[in-house]
Amino acid sequence: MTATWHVDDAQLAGWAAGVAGPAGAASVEQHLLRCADCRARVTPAAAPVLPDLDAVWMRVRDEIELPRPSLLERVLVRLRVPATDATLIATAPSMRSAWLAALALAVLFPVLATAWRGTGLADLFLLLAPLVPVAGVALSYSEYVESALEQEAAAPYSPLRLVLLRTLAVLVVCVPLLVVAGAFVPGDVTWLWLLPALGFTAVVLGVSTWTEPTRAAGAIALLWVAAVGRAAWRGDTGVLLSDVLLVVYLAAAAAGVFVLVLRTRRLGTLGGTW
Amino acid sequence: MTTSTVSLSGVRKRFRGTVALDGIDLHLRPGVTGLLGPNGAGKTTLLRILATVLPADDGDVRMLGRDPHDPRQRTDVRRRLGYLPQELGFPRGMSAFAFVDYMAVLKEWDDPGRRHAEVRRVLDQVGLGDIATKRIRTLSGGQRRRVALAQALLGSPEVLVLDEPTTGLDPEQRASLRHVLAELGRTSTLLVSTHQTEDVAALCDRVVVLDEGRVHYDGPVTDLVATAAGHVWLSAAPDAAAQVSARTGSGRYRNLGAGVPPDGEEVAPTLEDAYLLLRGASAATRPEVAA
Repeated sequence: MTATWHVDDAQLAGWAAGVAGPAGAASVEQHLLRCADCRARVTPAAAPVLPDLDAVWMRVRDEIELPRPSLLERVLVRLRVPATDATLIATAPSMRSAWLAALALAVLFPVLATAWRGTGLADLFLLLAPLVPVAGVALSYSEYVESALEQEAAAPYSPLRLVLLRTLAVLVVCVPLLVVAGAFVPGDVTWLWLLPALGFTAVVLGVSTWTEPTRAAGAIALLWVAAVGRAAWRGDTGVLLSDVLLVVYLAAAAAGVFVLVLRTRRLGTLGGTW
Repeated sequence: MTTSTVSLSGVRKRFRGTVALDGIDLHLRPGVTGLLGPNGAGKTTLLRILATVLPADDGDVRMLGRDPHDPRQRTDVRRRLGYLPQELGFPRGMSAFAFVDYMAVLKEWDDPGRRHAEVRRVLDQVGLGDIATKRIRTLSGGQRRRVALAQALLGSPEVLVLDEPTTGLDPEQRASLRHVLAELGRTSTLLVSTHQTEDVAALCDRVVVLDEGRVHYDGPVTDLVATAAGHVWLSAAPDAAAQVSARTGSGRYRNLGAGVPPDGEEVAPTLEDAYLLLRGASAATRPEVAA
């Protein structure tokens, strides 16, 4: 039988380059076994598709040099966070301590709840839960505000966006974990801790336009520990979650964000006021 | 009149009562300008203002025709600016490549392919291409300095503000760095602060000497060197009349002073001689001064 069909140049080149696909390759190979003319055309067809050495070298360098995205970055990218944002979030190393703290509480409170019944558990949760996101937010960008990372301040990237990005990253992880922990705690505090947490976090953000966020977070933590301690000593931590104070926390949240946005020009500089 | 890319008029800055800058007028055009001055002269404050990370208290700052006091214009300036701070904090555990890549993200290089190529380019430029994957913590002081410099070179910025780029570098590294900076100086405006007068002599067309927050000299390097002609001589013993008298490797003494005495052998001045003479009285407190 005489072959009436021949492999055309494009197919041959594709096969030689290894990009013909399984079905295409099988068909070309079948034909080549039977057709000396086409076999003779294989070498010339393969020659022009020699791999671009520069491109190969770049791929090798990519393989060696490109930092392997951390687990965190890979998860974020999987969650459709843009890759550049994932890099910026993952570069704030101190944030992980806040995540770990939240995780620890999420593990600790179910365990404690089995052994310890009474208001003490709720008091302890009320003491700790609002401070975890505050500490996380303060730590996640304190380095940015301090002079140690001066070169970041001189970059065109919006400081407000960077701060909010890292804040969001803290909250998105910490809040659900703390909600899990709160589910094992009796009473109103299960959910109501969220309001002081948001209020304090926003205040830290707002105050960070004047001074280092860690200072603001430290001051808030001291006041909160004193307030919870005093209320627990009197046997009524419920006063910290009274209707009036809940409104105050909400107002603080709104005020903190408002101040941050209003004074955003102040972010990304080393002192003084623009 | 040639337009300046960087222009400061009457710039003042004080910190808690201490005057750091006391009315600076400075106009820079493309080229390399050296910034000399003793510690505490205000060099770093001046560079921080130019890097847009510190606002001036008073006076007018123009960078590339824009006012960095206005947030939008400041972002615009930052897009065209490279800055090497005196001290650099590196996020923990990063490789040199990862750090420069991270800085490139902050400098809005969003396309990964182009960004990685640019990161490679600047790391190669500072001679770190081979060790890009090493963790910064394991690098030597000079290598870290070059990692820091690499991020400033991203995108070949129009204005480069470099605070002591040669600190911690060995002679070969300094020579190759000078070459890189000289190339950049053909098109960009570079202001380089340093304690090394040789760097200024080898690299800069122009030198600015800062002291106590004021500009003490601003002009061509050659003109500053020329001011010391006839003020530098060699002698067999320390010269009591000299402002500065230092023993040289040959065992003779190199003297700086008001004029060459009859028994002195006049020699060609260096930029360091001229700088020390300009510094005058405070330079005379150096330990080599003859009794």
